[in-house]
Amino acid sequence: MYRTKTGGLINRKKVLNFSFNGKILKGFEGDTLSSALLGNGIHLVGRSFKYHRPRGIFTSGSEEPSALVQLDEKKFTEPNIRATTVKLFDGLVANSQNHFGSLSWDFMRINDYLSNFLSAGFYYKTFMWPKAFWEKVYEPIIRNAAGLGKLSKEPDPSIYDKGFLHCDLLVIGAGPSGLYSALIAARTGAKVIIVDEDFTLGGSLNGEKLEINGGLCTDWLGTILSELTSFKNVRLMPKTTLYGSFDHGIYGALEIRNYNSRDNLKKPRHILWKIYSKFSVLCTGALERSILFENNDLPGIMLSKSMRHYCNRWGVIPGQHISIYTNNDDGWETAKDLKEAGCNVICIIDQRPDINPPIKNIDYVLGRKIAKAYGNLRISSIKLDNGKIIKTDCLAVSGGFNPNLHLTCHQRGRPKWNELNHCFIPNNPPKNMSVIGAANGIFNYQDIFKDSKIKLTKILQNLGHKKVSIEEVKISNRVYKVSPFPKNIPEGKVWVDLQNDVTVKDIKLAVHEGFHSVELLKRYTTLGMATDQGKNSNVLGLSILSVIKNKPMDEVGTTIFRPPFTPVPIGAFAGRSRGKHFKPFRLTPSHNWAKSNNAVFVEAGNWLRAQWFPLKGEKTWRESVDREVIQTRTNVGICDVTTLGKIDIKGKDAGAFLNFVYANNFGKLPIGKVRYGLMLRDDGIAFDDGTTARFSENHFVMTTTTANAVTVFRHLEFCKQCLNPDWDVHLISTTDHWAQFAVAGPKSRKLLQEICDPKIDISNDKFPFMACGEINVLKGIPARLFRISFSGELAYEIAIPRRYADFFIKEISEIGKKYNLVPYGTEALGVMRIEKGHAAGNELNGQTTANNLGLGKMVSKLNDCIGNTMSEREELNKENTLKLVGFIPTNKNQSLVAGSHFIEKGQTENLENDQGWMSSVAFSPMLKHSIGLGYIIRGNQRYGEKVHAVNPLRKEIIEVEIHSPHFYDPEGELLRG
Amino acid sequence: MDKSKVTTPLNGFSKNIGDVFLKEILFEIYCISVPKNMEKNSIITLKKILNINPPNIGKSVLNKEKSIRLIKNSSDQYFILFSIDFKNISKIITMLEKSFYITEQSDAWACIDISGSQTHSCLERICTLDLSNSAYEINSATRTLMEHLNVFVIKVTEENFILMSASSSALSFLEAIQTSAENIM
Repeated sequence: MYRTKTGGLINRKKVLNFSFNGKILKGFEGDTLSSALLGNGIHLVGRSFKYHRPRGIFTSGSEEPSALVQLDEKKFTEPNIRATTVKLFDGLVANSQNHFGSLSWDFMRINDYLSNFLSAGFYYKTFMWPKAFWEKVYEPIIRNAAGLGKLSKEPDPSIYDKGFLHCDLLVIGAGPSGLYSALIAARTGAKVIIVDEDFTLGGSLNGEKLEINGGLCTDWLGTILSELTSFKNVRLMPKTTLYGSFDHGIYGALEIRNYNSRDNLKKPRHILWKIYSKFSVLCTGALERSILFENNDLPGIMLSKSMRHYCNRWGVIPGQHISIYTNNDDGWETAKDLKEAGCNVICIIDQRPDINPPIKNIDYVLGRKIAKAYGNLRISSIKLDNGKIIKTDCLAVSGGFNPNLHLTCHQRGRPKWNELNHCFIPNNPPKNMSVIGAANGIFNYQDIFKDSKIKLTKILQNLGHKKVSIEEVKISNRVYKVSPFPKNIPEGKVWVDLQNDVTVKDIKLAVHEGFHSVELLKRYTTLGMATDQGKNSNVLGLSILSVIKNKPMDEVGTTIFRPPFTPVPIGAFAGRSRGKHFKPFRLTPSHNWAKSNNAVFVEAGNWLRAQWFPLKGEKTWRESVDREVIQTRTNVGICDVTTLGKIDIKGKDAGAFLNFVYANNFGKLPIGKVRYGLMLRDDGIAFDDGTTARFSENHFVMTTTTANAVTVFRHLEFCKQCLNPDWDVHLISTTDHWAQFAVAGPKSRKLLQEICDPKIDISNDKFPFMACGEINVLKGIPARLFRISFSGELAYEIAIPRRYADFFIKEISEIGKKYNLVPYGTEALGVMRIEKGHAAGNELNGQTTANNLGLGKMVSKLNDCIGNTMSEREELNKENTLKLVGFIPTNKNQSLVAGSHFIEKGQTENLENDQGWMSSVAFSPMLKHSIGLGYIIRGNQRYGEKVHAVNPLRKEIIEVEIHSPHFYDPEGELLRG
Repeated sequence: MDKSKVTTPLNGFSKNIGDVFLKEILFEIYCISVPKNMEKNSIITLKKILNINPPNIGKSVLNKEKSIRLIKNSSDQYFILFSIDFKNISKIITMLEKSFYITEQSDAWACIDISGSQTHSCLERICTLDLSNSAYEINSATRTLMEHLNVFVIKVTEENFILMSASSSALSFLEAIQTSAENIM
């Protein structure tokens, strides 16, 4: 009853079961959800966005505004899915959305009857009082009443991926012009990618009964596809929507691998492709538009070409008493095909009075318009403008065609109006894109093939490919003549935008209220928004605006079409970047060992670093950290410091280069020595610090902070390549090559003596503080030893090739047992550096200078180093500048808080009285109380003074004493011992 | 090298995933920096020491014995990859050090050998480069990004590549390639 007995591109032997609103239905392989619903006689599939009017299936493609359904259930559910784009599968579950009560009895239909009060922008004007009600009452009610489907609010169980493709020619759309263009290109050997959103390639030919070269167009299609498939240089991508055109020939495409979200959950369901093309051809055809009349949104009213395709491609009989309403020749093609398929076409109404009807065996009315459609849940009759009533249960409407030109506008192309075919056509498409066929406003098939051949020949020649022979295509000719938009505006409830419930009345109101510009009109009325992006409605809306403003269409203009062309799931944009794939991790060389020693890890950039190593019985992190500090300071501790940036600097001008990039002098650093270095930015602000060792005349090894390892390397490359291109300097990062461990504590030398080559003397005399050298450890492992200390203890840093790191840490741990060796993490590292008063990231925060840090004298006045001149700015060197100092709470039981601001006692806590801030705090296990580092005005002259550390967030004020930043071993006797 | 003391970034990983074969491959890697104004001489010196014609930027060349691959990274920098079982590494490095600045890089990199008929399908999920023969000839060697990670892509044959990425993030990199291989199956 709802299907033809034969024909179409469906496999009638393969029956698929699916459900809609709980009712079990049957469809066929090759169906879309919409064709399967129509094949079961179902036209009512949803409710409209605002007025909850009954809505049916309006189109057969991705431009569908009305047939939006909720697919699947629970965590698999997806809202707002266009039934016209879903390939039917066995077990598909779909439900209608946006109704209170059943689909056929929706309580919120009351909105339709109150529509006079709910016109465009009503919420801007209506809910003004009381003010407090907007967020708490009005907005929740409106959001609940209007809207579409619902999210599951559970994690998406599907997985997604992305990819990168390259081609000489990207063919967008696999209809007749696309496939013909692809074939011409493929034969030249060009690398071709063809994308099409449909799961069956062929475009409009899949739904037509045309003759090509004397045979059926579907046969010709088969031959072309077969040849294209045989080429290795061709990639056919059905189910792939090109959603965006970007700079430099780059396109975004969404490929649907599984329509069923439950299928193969371990494989990506969607793939987001980035396609790099040398040239592209846009062959996206044209989209049909509706005609404006009262109640033109009723279920059973459908675009004419879509109805023809439902019949031809899917064997659907869309109604028992079908009428056709047209203003162009294509409506007659629908009548012809429906009639041939055995459908009952009762009447065709053509707005044009003076045409010669191409079909004679159908009742027709010329020169008339439909004034109104009647019906509730489906159209039941129409009334013509002469008062004649025609009973009908299905109405095909053809108001002409709009070239599908959206992708030509993604880079600011603005279409122009074509008076011949009464449509916008592409005007200035992106560079290296050519528009072919109906997308370019050519509606005659014969001309489309000619257009393809001429353009492709030229494109391929420009790409350097030789001309190849291509057969001419002879296709049954179709005439396309369309009448212009009427100059009068229809009255009543006339729908322009079905998806957003925008009526002619809304547009009139918007213009009346001053929203004349097409962009303002769009935003005030919501015309052309949401999932269909106005593919059906924009030109209709513009035609109304044109009449109201009495301006031609090209002066009215269009809004700007932006990506995406059709909706792209957020999951597809995220791709695989979820969970452990969100970002890469860098592991230190001792990571496995640390893990086996119960380390608690912290993310430091991409690194995972051991934060502390809890022992059995330790209940808080402080217990572990305090133990690690005390044991290191009384015996010896070891910490993986591989994450510090390490840069080998070589060349005859390496010394001069270091003088240039560091604020202090390095050119005269003796071989075998290390020096602390402070790097400034151009503006004189402290950038990074670290140590640099000299291993030979032309070889230095620089370390940077972990956080700045990459930025410092990049900065050095800039200094080398751009500022000093003639210098003989060579940089290479060795951060990953060398594993580096800090060995600190009074017993560190004894421990190292046990693992070092016995020939090497590391006594204080031979290997003093700030010495460095290349040695062997653990019987032949090459290493670099540095006598440097971040903890303030007698300490070393030892670097060994990463491959030996696991062996090294295990061996030294075993040997170190007799010295009570303790592994310590970043927390203990931080505590010890604060005790010692060493600056770190908190102090080098991009606001502070060498002067602030107490390192002003380090800045060389002899060398032309980066930041030198700007660091002398008056403002940075004034008398009351900030100085880095230490802080101790007067009440030792109180804990200091980083970020607190310093206010003189007795003064109001406000910005005017702000004297600085606390940058770092820690509990000192050595001093048994909280300590802090921070900046305060003239801090170095105020030791012993008491001020308030104010924490407005916690509403806490702590009295603190200004102290030297060096809490522990201020004279540095330990580290030099 | 005492193997008992050594671990590798991927612990000797080797796996077939569908028609993609992944295995960790080891090289001794050195960076050769050419002193300023010695670019022309460097070609002659390299040819003499290594017995191969140095490649152009973005290319690599393999010696006849397939034990040494020389990659040119930039106008003044080469990478040299020695097969792990090559015997004369230290001798060659000593010779090179007389004319160039040499920095060992062996442990900075994790190297994955990827091969099989699905190699291109696997790599197109994470690699932005066009790796087809027309755009990327055999022995091409270029840096790129895959999943935010710096990667050296060396084309060995049409369906065989060596991918070099930082050793500290080697496991994330391997995970990314494995995911790609599994996703295309």
